[in-house]
This record gives sequence, C-alpha cells and structure tokens, in this order.
Amino acid sequence: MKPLLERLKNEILLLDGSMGALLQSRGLPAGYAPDLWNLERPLDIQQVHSEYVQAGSDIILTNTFGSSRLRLREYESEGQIREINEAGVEMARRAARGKAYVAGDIGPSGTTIAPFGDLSFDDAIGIFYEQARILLEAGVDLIAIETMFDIQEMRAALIGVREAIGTRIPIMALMTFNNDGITDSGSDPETAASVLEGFGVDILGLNCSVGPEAMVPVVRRLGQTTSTFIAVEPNAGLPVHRDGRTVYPANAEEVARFAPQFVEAGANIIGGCCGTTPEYVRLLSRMLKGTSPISRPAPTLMKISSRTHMTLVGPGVPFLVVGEKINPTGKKKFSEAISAGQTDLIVAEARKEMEAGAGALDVNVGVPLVNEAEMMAKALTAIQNVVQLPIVIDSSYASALEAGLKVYPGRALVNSVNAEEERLEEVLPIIKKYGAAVIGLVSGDDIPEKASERIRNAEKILRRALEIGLSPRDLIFDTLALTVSAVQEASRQTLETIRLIRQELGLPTILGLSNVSFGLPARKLVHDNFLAMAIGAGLDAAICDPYDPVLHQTVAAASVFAGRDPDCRIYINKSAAWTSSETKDVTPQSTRPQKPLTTVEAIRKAIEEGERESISALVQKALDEGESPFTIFLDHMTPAIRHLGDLFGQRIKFIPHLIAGADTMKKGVEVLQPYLEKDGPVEKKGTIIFATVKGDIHDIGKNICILMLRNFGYNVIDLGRNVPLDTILESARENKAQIIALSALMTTTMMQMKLAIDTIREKDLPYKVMIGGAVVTPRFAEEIRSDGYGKDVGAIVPLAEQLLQTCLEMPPPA
Amino acid sequence: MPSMRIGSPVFFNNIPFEIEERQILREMRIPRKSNLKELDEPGLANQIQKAIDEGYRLIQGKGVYRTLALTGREDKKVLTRESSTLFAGEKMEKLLRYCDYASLLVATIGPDLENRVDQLASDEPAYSFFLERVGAWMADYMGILVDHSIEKEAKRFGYGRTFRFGVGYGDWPLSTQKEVMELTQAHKIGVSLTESFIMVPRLSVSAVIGWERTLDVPDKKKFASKKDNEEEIEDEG
Repeated sequence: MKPLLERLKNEILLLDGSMGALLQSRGLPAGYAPDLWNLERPLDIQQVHSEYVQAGSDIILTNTFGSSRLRLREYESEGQIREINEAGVEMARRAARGKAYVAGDIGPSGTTIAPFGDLSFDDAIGIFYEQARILLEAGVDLIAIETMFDIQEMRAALIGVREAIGTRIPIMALMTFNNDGITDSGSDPETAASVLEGFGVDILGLNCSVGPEAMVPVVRRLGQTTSTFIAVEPNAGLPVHRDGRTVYPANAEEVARFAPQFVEAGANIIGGCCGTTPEYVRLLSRMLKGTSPISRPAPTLMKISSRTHMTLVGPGVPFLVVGEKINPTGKKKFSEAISAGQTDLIVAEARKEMEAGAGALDVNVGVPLVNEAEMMAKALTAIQNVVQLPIVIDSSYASALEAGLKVYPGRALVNSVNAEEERLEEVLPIIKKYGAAVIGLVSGDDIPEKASERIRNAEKILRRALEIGLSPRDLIFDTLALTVSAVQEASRQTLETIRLIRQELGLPTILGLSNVSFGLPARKLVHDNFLAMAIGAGLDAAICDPYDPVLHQTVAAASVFAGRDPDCRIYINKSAAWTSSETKDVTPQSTRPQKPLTTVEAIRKAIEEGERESISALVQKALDEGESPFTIFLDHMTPAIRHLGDLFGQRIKFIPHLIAGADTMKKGVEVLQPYLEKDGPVEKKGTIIFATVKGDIHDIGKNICILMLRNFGYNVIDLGRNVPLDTILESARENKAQIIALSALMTTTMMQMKLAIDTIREKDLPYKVMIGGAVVTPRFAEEIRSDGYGKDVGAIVPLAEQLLQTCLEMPPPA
Repeated sequence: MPSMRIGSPVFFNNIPFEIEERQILREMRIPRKSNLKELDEPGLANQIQKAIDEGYRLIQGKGVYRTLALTGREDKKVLTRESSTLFAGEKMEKLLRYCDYASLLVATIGPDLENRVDQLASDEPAYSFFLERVGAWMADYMGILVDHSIEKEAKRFGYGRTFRFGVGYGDWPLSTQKEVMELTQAHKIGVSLTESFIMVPRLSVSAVIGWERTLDVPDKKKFASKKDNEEEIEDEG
C-alpha cells in the first residue's frame, strides 16, 4: 500500500467505528473486557474488522484499547499482555488483507497521572512504551493513541510510544473534548494542538465523549491552528441509560451528515467512536471517497503553552513579557525558602507577576547545595496549581530541566542551550523527548562581539536542532543583552543580531533585559529605552521585570510601531488604565472638599470600617491630645462597635464587618490598656468560661465571639477546643465565672452541651450556660434547657449582658 | 471508549485552583458584592485580600472518588458489594432510588492553611477568621472539582447525577464517615478521622453522588422523549 501520510496529502481517509457495539451483538457480556476476546473469540474480532473494511474503512484500530499492563491488571490478565496485543494485531491484519492500514490502538491507563494523579509520570511512560513496543513488533502500520482526557497522560503516552517506535511508523494522537470544547484537564484545542505538535505527531485530533455536532467547532479550531493532519471520531450522540443499557441515540445518517462539515473544517480522517456502526462507515464512504482535504497553511509562529492556554511568539502577534522574578539571585529570603524546600514565596511571586501583566514566567530555583531537579519539579507543580501562564524552565542543569519538563503539563520553553557541543548534546535530546521549545543563546565558548559571528552560533544551534528532529518553530534565540556601560558597541550588535536572525533565519528572538542597564543610575530608564529599540529591531519577547509599569507602557507603544498592534487597539485599551490612574486622585479632592475628622471621630470611623492599620496611631494621637483613656473607650470606641452591631442587626453590615471592627477595637484597646490600668486593674464586667465541647475540633466561631466579648470588657477564659466537661467546670469554679459558653459544630458533639447543662443542674452549680455553633438551633437550646442561645457573633454581647444581668439579680449562693 | 472506573479509588493531587473573590464574599455572608473593590471598607477588603493571597500559598488541593455498583435495597439501606451499612437512611434510599452506581468523594485543601488559622487564632482572631473562610470555600471548591469529574464520567455512560449529599447530613449517620474514608483510601490524600468522625484536616469535604438512570426519574422523563427510529446500542468499547 502507498504510505499512509502520502495518501493523506490528497485523500480523505476513513477510520472504522465502534468495536464494543458489534461485540455486544455477538454476545460480549456487559462489563467484560473486549480485549480478552482477542484470545478467546478471535474470529469474532476478525469478523468485526472485516465488516468495517468491507464498509470502506481505510484504517482499522486493533482491539487493544484496554490492553496496557495496567488495564489488563483489572482483569488479572496482565501476564498475557503480549499475546493479547499480538492477537489483536493478527486479527486486524487478517481482516485488512492489504486494503486497510492497521493502527495499533492504545487507550488511557485508567488512572490519573502525576503531578495531578497518583501514577508516576515515569511509570506511565513505561506502561505506554511496553504496549507500543509489542504492537510495533506485531506489525502495525501506525500507532493510535486515543480517548485521552488529560494532556499530561497524552504527554506520557507520546514519550513512551516515541521511545518504542522511534520514527518507523506514524503516530496518531486523539484527545477527548467535552461539549464546551475543552478537555477534562482544561486544555482548549489550540493548547492541545501545540503540545501534540511539539511531540511531532503525524496526525492529531479528537474522539469519543460527544456527538458530531459538538466536534465540528473543535475540528475547525484545530484546522486553524495547525497544518498537521486531523482525525475525528464522533460518538453517535450523547449516551443515555435505558432499560439497563447504554444507548447512543443518533443513527448512522444523523452522524454521517456532519462529514462534509468535518472536511470543510479541515479533517483528513473521519471515523466513528461509541455507538457508530459499519453502516455509518458505508455512508461516509459514499459521501467522501474521492474527496480531497482542504489545504491548510503551515503555521509559522512558535507556540508555548500551559495546561490550559497557548501563546504565540513571533512577528505580528503581541510582544511576550516573561516575568523574571522567580529567581533567587540576590534575594536572601527567596534563597532561604528554596533551600528549605518551600514553595510559598515562589507561588506568591508567580501570582504577583501574573497580576502585573506577565505573559509567561521564567522559573529559576538555582541555589547552591540544593537539589535543583527536585526543587524545580516542586516549584512547577506548585505554580501550575495557581497560575495558568506558560512557563520558561530556567536552569544550567539538564537534570533540573528534565525534572521540570516531566511535571509540566504543557509545552514549556527551556532556558537555554548555547552553541557549545556539550550543552547541545545534553539539552537538545531533552527538548525533543518532552516536546518542548528552547531558547538558543547565540554564544559558544565565548560571546562573539559581532552580530555576524553571533548569527553563526544561531545557525549552528538551528542545524543541530533540525538534525535531532526538532522543527525551526521549536527555537527562539537570545541575542544577549550585555551591559551597555561596559561595552556600548555590544548593545548595538545585539540589536543587529535581532535583525539578522529575523531576516536570515526567519526565527523569533528574546532578550534577558535587566543586564543591559547594570551599573548605571536610573536603570529602568536605560533598559526600557533599550527595549523599545529592540522591539523596533524585531525583538519578540523579553525576560524582564513585569512590575515596572513603564516597561508595559514601552512595550505597548513600541508594539504599535513594530506591527504588533493592528489599529492600535491594545495600546488604546491599556492606555485607558494609565490615564485613569493619573487623574483619579485629583478629581474628588478638587470637586468635593471634605471637613477633616477630629481624632475621636476618626477612631469611630476606623472601628466602623475595620481600619486596623490606622487605629493604634489614632488612639495614641487622641491620648496625646489630652483625651481621657476612659472617654476614648467608653464614649467613642464602645459606641462605635455598638453602632456596628446595630448596622449588623439591620443587615446593613455583616459578620466580616463586625469582626474587622472588633479586631480594630482590640488593637485600639491594646494602646489604651496601660493608661486604663494605671490606677489598678479595671474591673471586668463578668467572667465567662468559653470552650468548644469534647470531641469537637472547630473553634473559629468561638474565637470570634471571644474577641467581641473581650472588647466589651468581659473576662473571658478561653479553654480551647475538645474540652472535657470536668475541665470546664473546674475552670468555672476556680475563676468564679458567671457564664459558661459552649460551642459545637457537629451533630455528633452537640450532645455534650446537654451533658454539661444536665450536670450543672444536677449539681446545682451557679453558672448560666449559653450555647452556639453551626448545628445548634433555638429549638435544641430550648430542649436541653440552655440559658441562652447565640445565633451568631452579632448576638453574643447582648446575650452575655442579659445573662449577666440575671446573675446579678439572683440571690447570692447560701 | 474509556472504561468505567468501578471499584478502585481515583486520586487527584495538586488540583489547580483559583480563589474567586465573589465566592469568598459569599462564604463570608456578605451579600450583593461580587469583588473586593465593591466593598466600601478598604481595611476589611485588605484583610480579605491578604487572606486570599495567603490561601494561594497554603492550599494544596487533593481529592479522591470511588464508584460503587449498587446491588440491591433493603430496609432503608442501599446495598453494594463492599458494604451493607454504608448507604443508610430514608433520605439515602430516596437519593439513590434511580441509581445503578454511587460515587463516594473526599476532597481537602491540606493541612497548611488550617495550621496557620490555628496559629493565628489567639493573637489575630479576625484575620484567622478570614483565612478560615477562604479555606472553607476552597475545601468546597475541591469537592466541586471532584464532583465535576464524577459527573462527566457518569455522563459518558449515559447517566445523570444526583445532587451531592454530604456525610452526616439528613439521616445519613456521621459514623459512616469511617467506611467512606476506608473505601476511598482517603488517608492517601492526607485525610483521617477523629474519634467523633470529624475529618482532619477540618477543611475537607466528603459526600456521595448517585449515578441516575435519567430517563427513569419521573420528573426528568418528560424532558427526554424517545426519538423515532432511534437505534439502541450498548457499547463498552
């Protein structure tokens, strides 16, 4: 037969349809592994294949979807992995009889892959490698990896399969998209395509999960983003469960009528997944045989991606700002955190860079004596949990680059390789294996002075990359921004190198920007101006400080001149924010003059608005102005918090306001305390023992209630959580408490409240008991004869006041 | 077609997440505000923002689910091969009435945020509260993400889903938490139980979702009438 990839240039080819549907009609029991029939009922397998070949399938998938070691283990058949796969190929081969290509079918492992799941990435690679190797040796014409929900699992499969088959036969890689056009792991079609292209797959596409209608837009998006051949296999509609059976509602005609739309969207191979039949393939054959695929232009730009987003790099698209801040150089705290294996500062920096407008993040965790590979994996895992920007993995150690690439579920950019032989041999195979892109530094053993020499290094890197099987679109060159104060000519050569690489190699360029201004005053001015010149020369990306607002303005303005911002839309949109920030401080003051608040008014306002940062200084100022501490507390702070309580009661303010107000008051009272107690301890309103009951470990509500009560002058003894009743009673006795406050959050622990109240009643102890907590209701409080029930933190002070009043009215114990 | 993941737990580590201001404000019971900028009190907004930022550093989302085939019903219990005591109570029986399978789920944000909340509790109770509320929502969030995975899997096999029913709610005894933890091997995502069946970390969720034969549910039937000439095909491959 003519080579598959040759035929695909001019023909639409047909895949087969569902295997399971036909095997069930031949008696395959529900829940039984179809793959086992390769050995047990081989003729049935062959006959199903034959039906598809007769219907017009050009490619048939072996019945080995679940024949990986891990999947076969579910049926205790992993010991027969070779026999099952070989028999699957043999039956397909017999049915194909030279009329159809046999694709060795590989499905998902059936579990989730690290770092998202529990199967290690290396183990997953091994599982796919093993099955692909057997299929290759059994004589398949191509490998089909299909029904992948998770881009990370697809990455593991592609690495395993590529290691097993090299470039001997083509690879088809099909992801599964949901109705919203996104995979389970959050990848859109452009992102998935960029990752699959990075691995050099020959055919990419989608299958399963949804019907044809939902697949048309995904095929269209794939067609617009890639020139790789596209395959599509829809289900016969969305399944429903009826009378104990999974039913695919669309018939052959209903699915097949979407075939012209698939072709028009860019598909090269069309088949069917669950619920489709030979009749469907027969219809496709009638409709499509002799049809040519549409031509799709080859994309020219580099693509990098996270798990969920793809970013283009190159001429005509927005300039890429790569945040440089995740780098321990010169940062003591950052270095110490990395040395301790902590990722919290890295995550915080990543979030901050993203919010500042970075389009990608450079991640460097190189600290002496730290296992950089381990730390890189840890850092990238933590970052990708909270930031969905593409990552630039930055290390001088190949082991750290590889560790990062293993855990990164997108197409990363690696920083970097240069023209030195040793580095080329070390880094380029890793780039190829993990489907990444790489920054090529135009240096070799040294940094050439002239642009004409720097481009020789770029050419060498490109040549070596192509030899190893990388595409030119896997490369971006760093033309080296040297310190201008040291060698001014070097910076001119850097700009010239950008122009040469664009003109002669047609490839993108990137610069690490900050070095250029080293040693000069007003450094930002220097490197922002250099950046504008470099963008003018054709620079596509920079690793730089994303917190510098002038840098973003420079990029926006320079991009207008560099053809990166058609109709100046990006510039105009961004400039709206710059101009509003310039004007916003002026308007209110000039148009609405306000009477300044007195200090005590400011104290009230601070409490009412939860301004904890300003309260200490305000209270001190009031004291300095001669206000009595008692006046400040009783006449200003207390009314302020009471007012807040009133607003809470009216549902104008809410619990967080009340808490922030109480917290602010607490800070203010801390300043007053020494003055209030100058003439001896201030008499407390009453003593309350507060505890979360035995068995319960929730205490956030209790803590907030205590904060509120203390602000109002109560002596609150906090016993913590999971407190036995004996401890509570003992503390009440020792502290001569009037009130016991109990909190519980679980239905299983709230009965401890009843026990406490019964015991207090039984022993005739003089304590009032108030209760609260998420599960406690007024009815429950009444049932267990509690003295008081607090619905929430807003109720606690009035309740305490009411109970204390009752205590005062009671005759003293005899 | 993917196989139905019956019987063995499916784990999720390092669940990607986003802390939405709108949800945090909702968790704090502040109505009619969708972001912190809409709060009139900058002091309060700063505190909540700080808690969100710290949440990004401290949360590590993990989850697990395990789908069990339902084998029968007797005396206010729904039976599975693994247990005759797990799915107990009238509400549970009603929940799983039209179901062939049920997925147990456990999700957590890990211990770090909770430890920080405890650490701050006495000196910074207000901030501790804000941070705890961030954690409380995010524990739910992790549960929702695992929930979505279950829903998608059920849908692929032609099933709808019931609502998510939390362990200990209604008449489903909290004591079944023990079986839920054992069956899901929740210890592998760092979740354990106290003697009172409270999960540790506290900021964790556990629940069940039924796989419902959509067309069998009376009030759903009327929305899905069978089409003419519809092919009925069972498929497992």
